Amino acid sequence: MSSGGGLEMLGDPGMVCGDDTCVIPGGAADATGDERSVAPPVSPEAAAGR
Amino acid sequence: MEVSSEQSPAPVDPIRIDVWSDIACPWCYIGKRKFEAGAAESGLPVEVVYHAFELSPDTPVDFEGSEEEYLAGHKGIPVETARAMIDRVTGIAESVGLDYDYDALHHTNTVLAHQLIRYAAEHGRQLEMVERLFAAYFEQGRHLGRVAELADLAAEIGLDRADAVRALEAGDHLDAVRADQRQAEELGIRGVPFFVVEGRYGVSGAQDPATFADVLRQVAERRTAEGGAA
Repeated sequence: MSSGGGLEMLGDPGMVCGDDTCVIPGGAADATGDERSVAPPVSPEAAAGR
Repeated sequence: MEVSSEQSPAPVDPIRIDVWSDIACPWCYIGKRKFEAGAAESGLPVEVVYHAFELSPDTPVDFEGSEEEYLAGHKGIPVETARAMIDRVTGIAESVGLDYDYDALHHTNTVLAHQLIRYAAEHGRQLEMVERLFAAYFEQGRHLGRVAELADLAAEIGLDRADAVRALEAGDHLDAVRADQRQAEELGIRGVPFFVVEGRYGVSGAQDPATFADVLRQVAERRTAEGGAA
């Protein structure tokens, strides 16, 4: 499995995150079970600095 | 006492871990604790370097409202659902020894905090700064969007307060923060915490310590198989 950025992904493959939530199949987590926090892509305006 | 060569293992090069993280990310502090436990469990030396990731770059410095109101708006979910998320993450934080206080938390923009982490790295104190900022944000209700407050925290870990103020006001490390963010995009990182091991392997999320330990052992074994140290 790859991150899409050339990295080989290791660790728990069940921890696959969607756009804003992370569900561990068969685990205790539910739709509110983010195991990480997901951000939208940084906009060009934001990336340009504030 | 007889000492065999087996009791004196050859020095091993630390395994390099680059961590993308945001100070305002509850899973990142939890992930930090879990990774530290996993690294200790593995018995392998690691070198950890933190990189900037802004979960919510549009957040104002002085966000008016509670964290659950912020989450509800940010994710488009009911306030009750946001409250449940906060309760859950608070419970998981407690399980790794962290005492999150969402009633005291000041939600804010973290770009200055990321610059301070870079400043601290320049002075060899990055890990202490990251730990101090996480605790300040999640456990102590400190406002991390303000230069004065950040400089106070820098001074608490032994950095020069006046110089930290100068560097933050001048934006000395903003380019480095933006470079981290661009690198995250190039690596396909959409969420944090995200751990890049030896520049080749990715681990996403606040995984269990045993998982981190397994990953480190796996990477060390691969390195050995390829003829490197460890």
